[in-house]
Amino acid sequence: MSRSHGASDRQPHAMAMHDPPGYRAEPSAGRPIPSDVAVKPPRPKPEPPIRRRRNTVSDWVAVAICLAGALYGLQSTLRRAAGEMLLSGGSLEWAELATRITPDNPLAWKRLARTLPDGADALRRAADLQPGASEPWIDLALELETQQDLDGAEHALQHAAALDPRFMPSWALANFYLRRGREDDFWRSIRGAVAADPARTPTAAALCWRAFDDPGRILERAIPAEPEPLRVYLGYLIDERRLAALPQVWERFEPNLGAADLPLMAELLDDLLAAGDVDFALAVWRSMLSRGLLDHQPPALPGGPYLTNADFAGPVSGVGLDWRFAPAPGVGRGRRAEQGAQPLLELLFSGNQSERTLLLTQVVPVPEGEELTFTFEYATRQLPVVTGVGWRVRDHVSEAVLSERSALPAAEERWERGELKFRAPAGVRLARLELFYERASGPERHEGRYMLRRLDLKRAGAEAEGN
Amino acid sequence: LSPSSTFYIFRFRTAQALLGLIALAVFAFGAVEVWAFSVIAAATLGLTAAWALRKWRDPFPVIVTALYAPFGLMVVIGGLQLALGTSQAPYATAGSLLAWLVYLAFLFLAANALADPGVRVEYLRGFLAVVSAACLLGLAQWITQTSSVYWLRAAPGARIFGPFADAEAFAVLIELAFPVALTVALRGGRRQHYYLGACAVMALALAGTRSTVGVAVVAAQLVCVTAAMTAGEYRVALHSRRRGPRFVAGLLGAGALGVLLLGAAWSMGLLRVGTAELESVETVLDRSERVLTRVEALHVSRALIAEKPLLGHGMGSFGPVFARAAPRDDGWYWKHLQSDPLELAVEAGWPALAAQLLLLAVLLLRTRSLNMWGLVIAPLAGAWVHSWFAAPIRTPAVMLAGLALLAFAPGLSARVAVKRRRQP
Repeated sequence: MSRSHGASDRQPHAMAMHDPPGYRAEPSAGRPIPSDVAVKPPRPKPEPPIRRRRNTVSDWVAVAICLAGALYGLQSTLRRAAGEMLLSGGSLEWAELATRITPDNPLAWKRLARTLPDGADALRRAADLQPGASEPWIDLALELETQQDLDGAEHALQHAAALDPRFMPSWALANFYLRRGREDDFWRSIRGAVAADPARTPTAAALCWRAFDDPGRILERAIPAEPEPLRVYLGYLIDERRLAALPQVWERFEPNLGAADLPLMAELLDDLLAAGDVDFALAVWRSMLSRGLLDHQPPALPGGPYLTNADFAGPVSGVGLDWRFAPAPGVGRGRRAEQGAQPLLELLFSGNQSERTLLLTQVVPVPEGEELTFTFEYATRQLPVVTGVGWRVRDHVSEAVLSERSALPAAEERWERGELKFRAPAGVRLARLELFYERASGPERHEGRYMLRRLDLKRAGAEAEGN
Repeated sequence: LSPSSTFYIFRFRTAQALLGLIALAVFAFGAVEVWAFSVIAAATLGLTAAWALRKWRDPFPVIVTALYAPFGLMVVIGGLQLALGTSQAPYATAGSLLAWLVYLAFLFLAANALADPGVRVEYLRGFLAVVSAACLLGLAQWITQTSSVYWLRAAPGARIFGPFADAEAFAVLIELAFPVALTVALRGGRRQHYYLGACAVMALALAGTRSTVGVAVVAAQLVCVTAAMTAGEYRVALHSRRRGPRFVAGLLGAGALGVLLLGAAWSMGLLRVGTAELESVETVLDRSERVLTRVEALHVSRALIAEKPLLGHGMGSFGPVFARAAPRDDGWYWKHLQSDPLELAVEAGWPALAAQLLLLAVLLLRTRSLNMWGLVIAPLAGAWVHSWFAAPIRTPAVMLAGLALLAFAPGLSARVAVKRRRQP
């Protein structure tokens, strides 16, 4: 309060002190103001001085960098966009214009080369713009070869091979030499290509087979004696079913056989067994077993044993001469090998199985012309008296049925012994044992279990001797 | 943008232009085509020139931040590769150099334009509107037909969603926008419902992209952002009559979004438990065909990085370099590795990985506020994690959206610093 009083008291005096000259105040209702007294308005509060910011040296440098970067970027953007647009045209004029606008674009030169009758210079320019890339040099070589500049083409391909030690340049060079009939150079280049990328051996091998059809020469001159190219080449021969060429390759590859080769060996054995090449198949099978790919005893001819994994001591691999499970929807199959007990194979019929289905097979080498006895033990659980399960023996190559025993009677909760006799005719060295299921007419589809153990195959004479 | 306008208007108009460029990039197929990127590059560089001229005529303080450094490093690497002739594909490297220059310019413009809080708010609204509109478009397309973009342009073999031919890249765009919308919604403003709705649209769109990584990242973002915002705001909300109900509504909304994401994951088969089948005893021994798997591609890339660790094989040269390293008979090769950090390392060597680590370090040094976590760190971290499993950097729309969010960092941290200084 006292402060405001004081202020109001002091104000007129203060105002009078600061009135500008010539100012006449309005008459007030209270105290009359004399006409000769000039009242000055309050002096406006002086504004703080505006400190205008100035660019420093670093600011100028930043401005210059920004402007330079923006200008470079703008011209580059517009140039590249125009070049790309022109390239999409496809005409000679547009391609030429594109090379002028974007002379650093190899694609523009390549496109120009396509539209020109003689595009070698454009391709050479495109190759120069891609250091380290072999493809443009290969393109250039093809163009030069078309123009009959064979030395230039060879030089370009050799340059590509020197730049890039991978498959493609050597492959292109090999093709060039093959077209020119230079056989020695071809073999050297194709071998180099296979060595550079063994996974592409099939491509190289296919060309060699088309050109020469000489398995010995191809193996000697095109396939390096390394495990990987040999493995891939073996796979190629299996795929192409060139069985005559297999033994030579197998001989070289066999020392390198490893666990990872099981699928390849399975395919090889399938082909050999289908072709009836028993000796070669047995050699492969024995090598696989001796190198620990599978843990079984090998069969022996002519004295036996003939069956592999006869008592289901090992797991069913489905490979070569071991047991195989045929596709049988609705039937569960598994090996039961409990501690101290005889291993057995158990088949679980769910009731949804097909009316006729194959359950288990094994290809068996047999002595030709001999009478053989196949014996087995089986038990059933909850299967009807006519189980529908039976055994059949076929000639593996011709598929002819040699013997059959169908509809084995049930053996509920007890082991029953069964046998099947057959004679391998002359010329038949591979038999196939088949366990099958055929539903007899009338009954419903069965649900239950069928167990199998102690299988054996012997010559009939030996069976009698054993008894 | 006229020189006579005030500096605020200048910033505001720049932010509008940047938002317009992002919208153009999003709706022009992600700006993966030459024409779209050329338009964006020319506009960005033109804006940079305008800012430089303004600085020349009428000096103003420029925001300088360490966030420019990683992008500057990429430009320098590209320049060195061209100057030293180490690139395997110089023309492609020049193109990549140009792209990184554009990104650096965009970041510079965004950092300066979005330094003002008012401009930032307006930008955020616009950005979320653009992404929500793209999501709605994508959902409409997804429901009606999925084989062509805009119901017109077929993209055979591509997994399209919305305007993008690559659904994974669209999922990354959602990862950039979702935590931003959620953060704004959980702050409990007047437009809370609008932002929660935007989140819901994005979650639905995520189901349409069928991106497994995208669902995982967005779920993690939902949990982290909700937990961080709850921990930061619950005390204020407990004592405020106005913010309390909005805080609860925000939490309920976040819960609903969680349910929506679970539904999205279920629709993609991520949460279904398969029934155990009977063990098959049949042996299958087919030799597999020679197909290059993702793991093999990563091994090849690792070998390529080891081959040229200092400057890489040349930016933009991954396709041809990879084709030479892992050739196939059918000529097919990987154009991109589907792992951006590794692909950058193949192209630019270890310095590219160093640039990424530098960016992370600079960002983590600025984690001073909840806003920083929700608006910058969560979106960018999610996109970066996703980039290890996809190639979002190759979609300029995603890159530009991420750069704009990154540009929030200087402004947000400066604001926090001012507030702290004012506190007694």
